[in-house]
Amino acid sequence: MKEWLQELQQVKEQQSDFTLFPMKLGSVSVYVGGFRSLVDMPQTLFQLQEMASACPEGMAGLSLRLGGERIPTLPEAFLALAKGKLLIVPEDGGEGMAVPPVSRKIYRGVEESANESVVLGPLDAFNESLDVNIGILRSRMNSRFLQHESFSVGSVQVHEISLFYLEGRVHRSLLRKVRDQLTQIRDQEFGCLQEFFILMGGRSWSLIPTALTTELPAQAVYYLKQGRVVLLLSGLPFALVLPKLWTDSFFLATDREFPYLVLIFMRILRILAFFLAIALPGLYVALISVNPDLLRVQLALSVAESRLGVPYPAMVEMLFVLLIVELILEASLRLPKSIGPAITMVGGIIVGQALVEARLVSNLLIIVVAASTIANFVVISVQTSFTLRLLKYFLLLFAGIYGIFGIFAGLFVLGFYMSQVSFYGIPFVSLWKKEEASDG
Amino acid sequence: MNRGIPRLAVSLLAAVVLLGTLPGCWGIKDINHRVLPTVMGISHGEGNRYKVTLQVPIPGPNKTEVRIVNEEAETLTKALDRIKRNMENQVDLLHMKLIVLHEEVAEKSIRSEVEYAVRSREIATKAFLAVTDRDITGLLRSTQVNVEREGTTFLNFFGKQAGWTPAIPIYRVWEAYRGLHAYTQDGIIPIVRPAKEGMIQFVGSGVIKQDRMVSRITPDETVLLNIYRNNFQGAVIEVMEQASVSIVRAKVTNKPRLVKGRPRLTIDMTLSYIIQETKGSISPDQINQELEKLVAGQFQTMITKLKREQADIFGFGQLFRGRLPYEELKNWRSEYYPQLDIELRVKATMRNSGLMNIGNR
Repeated sequence: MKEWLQELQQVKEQQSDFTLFPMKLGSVSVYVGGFRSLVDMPQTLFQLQEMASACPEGMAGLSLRLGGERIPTLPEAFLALAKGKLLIVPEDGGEGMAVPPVSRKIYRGVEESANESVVLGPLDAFNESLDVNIGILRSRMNSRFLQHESFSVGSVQVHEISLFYLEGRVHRSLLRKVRDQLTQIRDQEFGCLQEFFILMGGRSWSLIPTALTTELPAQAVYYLKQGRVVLLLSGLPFALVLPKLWTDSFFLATDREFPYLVLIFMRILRILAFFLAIALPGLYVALISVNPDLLRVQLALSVAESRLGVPYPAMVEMLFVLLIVELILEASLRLPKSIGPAITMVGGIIVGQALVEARLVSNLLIIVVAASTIANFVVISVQTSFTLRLLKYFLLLFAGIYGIFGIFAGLFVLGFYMSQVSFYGIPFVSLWKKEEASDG
Repeated sequence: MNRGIPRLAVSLLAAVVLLGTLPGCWGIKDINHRVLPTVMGISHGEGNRYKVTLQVPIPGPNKTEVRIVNEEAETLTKALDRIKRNMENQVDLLHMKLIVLHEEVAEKSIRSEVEYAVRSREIATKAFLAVTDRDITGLLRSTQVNVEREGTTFLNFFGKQAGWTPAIPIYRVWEAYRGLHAYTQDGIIPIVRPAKEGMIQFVGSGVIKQDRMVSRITPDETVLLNIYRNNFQGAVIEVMEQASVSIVRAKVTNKPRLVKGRPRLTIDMTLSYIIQETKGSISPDQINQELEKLVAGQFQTMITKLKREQADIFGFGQLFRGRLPYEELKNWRSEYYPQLDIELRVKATMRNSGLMNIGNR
């Protein structure tokens, strides 16, 4: 059984950060292998020596002593190594074991969330390390009912996926379906979240993602308590909540830190913002070019005045400014944080002031676009705000052709679309209900 | 994971892209390429049947300029068409807020004018109607200055948020259209004249019986009608030149019945008022009595006159709709209405006397 050592020697030649060396742990002579980049070698070896110092009997005793995990086959050994484990192989060959080492600190610490800000409520956010995330979730939840199941998906790139649910609260048929799905896709490959969503049963052309993402452990805990299922993926600094419902764009767990009336106010505001974000540009075009009879005559006259000398039709005018706003948004995502404010200034002054003064667009248009863009980011989830950015063009097109009627037709189409989406048998457009008794 | 683009999506996308080429190429025009006349005057022309005058605010960089344009033709449509031909932008009647009819037109018949306004999809049926006994072009020209400054003189005159008072009747196109066809209800139309300094003078109301203006009532009588219609926001009544009161609440109960084929109506009217002004010493009881006498007297005078004209502007016929067979309703104006006995019982109560005690001098 020297082949293990041979294979490992080969790995050492190919991978420059792999180390393999003989050492004596207690009375047993072994070979120790691991990636220097993942394992803090000096610390680990020091600890191993300490722990194994009074270990008389062979590998079995050592394994018992070190808490090693039996690895029967070579591919599994390589996987364990890739995951950052330390491999211990007896000198005479034979089965090796994987030992949890002192890992290198290659993850950032627990920080505040980058994309979801919290006013009142816990500030910490998930980060890239699965173990840290699991730890955060467990310490937030503090419940003996919190259940954790582990899956790994992928053959080339292996993703560790942790499935959490709350025993007794969870929607059982949902849990069963998610669990089945995760087992089924064991060998499937995915590189990004979109592909993962599709593997999990989503559609590639869907506007609505299969799962809700949240960076905030408080949110994850809230959904767990509701009976939903939370997935943590290795390397992703957020939790995936299944299923996603329409209310998630408007209702935030930390809303509950506020008085009830304030909560209602904020939620109504967000729902309003949703409609404003998608309908305002369309409404402008509809009122300016198709249905000016709906404006009050005073407003109609002042709007007409502000559009004097504007050369393009309202539709073109709107598309022109929206394009610039989208460019600014996209640019400010890419820009380093230190330059970001500069772009905001440029956007505000050049786009706002100069465009109007140059008589390329009307004053009202700038107000409408600004209001729509602001409203766009009032809704909670990042996913939704990106979807809204797209949806407003849909309504704009309808409005440009059919006016006010078109906007309502567009909203209807949108309603139809949303109501046909369902995840794991739970309609997207529904309020979360505790599971029915007959289920599961 | 490439599942290919669904065929349906491709065809939808193609359709959408093609639709995108449409805006600007068919009937849709931007607001700054339309002119939005707000007032239309209709009078008899010289020789021709109609003379149509439009007051058109045209927004400019600094202030709104108002143009008065007119054309004569056999029909309204033709006259408007001539105006449209001569304007540089598309004339849109969407914001037509007021149609002023000359007295001669109103006294002859407003049927074809109202039917035109209802039939044409451009004019909103909520537009106001008014009558003038002066030259229409002059009326529109006299308000030009104010319109140029604010853009909306006429609208303010009739707007409940602006210059409207209970002395001014509101008569909209749809009400006129209803009047053409209703057996049991008529309306009143405001009569306006140009006044000095670009103001409008309201001189009274015209009583419209079906399609014709048959007589006039005074502003005070209009107030009474509006009180009956519960439309009295801030109505002020002078009592015997000794006190002015403002009505704050009017409760009207109608008890219609038919006695041997003759319609009889008992009206209980409870008026609550606030004292605005008093001269000399007058007691609340005196004011109550005077007010009751005044309202009842004015009412009976008015009714007598209206019965003679067979114009049911109070809409009393509406109350008998359930009591007369449908065939008989046709004859409401000619047979039943002149026979109608009305007993009006007015009860006045003082809500308060303002910030002063009454008779406290």
